[in-house]
Amino acid sequence: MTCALEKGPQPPYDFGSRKRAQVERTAEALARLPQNLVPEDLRTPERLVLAPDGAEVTVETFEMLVKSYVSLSPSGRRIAIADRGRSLTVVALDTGAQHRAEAVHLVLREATIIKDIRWSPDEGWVLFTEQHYQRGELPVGVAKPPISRKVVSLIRALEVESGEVVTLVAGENGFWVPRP
Amino acid sequence: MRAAFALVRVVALGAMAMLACCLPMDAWSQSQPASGPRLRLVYQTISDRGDGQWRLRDLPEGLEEWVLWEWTNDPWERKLSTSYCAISGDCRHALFVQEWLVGGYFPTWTLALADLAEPIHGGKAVTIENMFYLVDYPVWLDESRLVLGVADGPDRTERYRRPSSTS
Repeated sequence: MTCALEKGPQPPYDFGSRKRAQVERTAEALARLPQNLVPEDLRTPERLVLAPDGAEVTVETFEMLVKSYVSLSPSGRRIAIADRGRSLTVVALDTGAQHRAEAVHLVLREATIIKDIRWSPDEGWVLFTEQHYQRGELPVGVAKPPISRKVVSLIRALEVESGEVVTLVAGENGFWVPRP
Repeated sequence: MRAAFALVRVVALGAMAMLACCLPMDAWSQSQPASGPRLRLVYQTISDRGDGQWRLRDLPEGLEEWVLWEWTNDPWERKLSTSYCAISGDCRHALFVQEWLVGGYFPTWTLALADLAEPIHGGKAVTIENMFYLVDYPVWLDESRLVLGVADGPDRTERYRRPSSTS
């Protein structure tokens, strides 16, 4: 394959305002939810930031791995909230209907992170990654855990209408691509 | 009786834990039921020592899978995983951002482009450019142009255009 990109003059692209708009829309959606559905670390709008891949909103300090993530659906009608590794909850903002996916338990004494929440274009499914750190120890900072702490990562999906959760593949950080 | 039941439960859980630890990743994933969304999935696998791959997989069947981009870790050129991937709007290309440390210290970010439309077994993504500043928020503006955020104080952007004569 010989694909390559070459630099060329392009009009300016304002990342700052786009990121701020996405964070503000998410903060407004969180404010409409009952307080018990909003994880504690997401309750301060000033601390919300966009994750570096632009798919989800989280709290400041990227080094803090055990934190909550939230992703507003493309239409803004649904919201998916990962509460610090314990569960993923999808809420329909207009009706209040909820579906909840609990983290699976693979091994004893493991610690879990739920992250990488990504909506399908039709908003029917939510992809997410569960990372299980065996021996119950989460990594500190951005460093990968030492070999003694085996990590098992699963990509799972939650069907919004039925609440069904399926485990798709052993891996992490999944992105949707429509099938040809 | 209760103690005996608890003992059986602990033994069963232990056996499940050992199975989860010993089962190879590929064998584990192929054992999954054919349910769930019909999609193609671009995802990462990362080993405990930091080696990894970006893969493209058909789901739910999981019969077809391609390796799009892979890296091997070593102490001198330590490569790290990043979550930065951008799928183009026409779903024909994926852009990956690979962070690595030259000499175990100097951070570098490599951009790689993969063909999703006609993936080839053994065909890998091509490196576009190495950068010495943090790149994130990759966004495709249309089918041929993308923008990269640069996390170095105020947002800056790099703009690229894919030549139309690619093969």
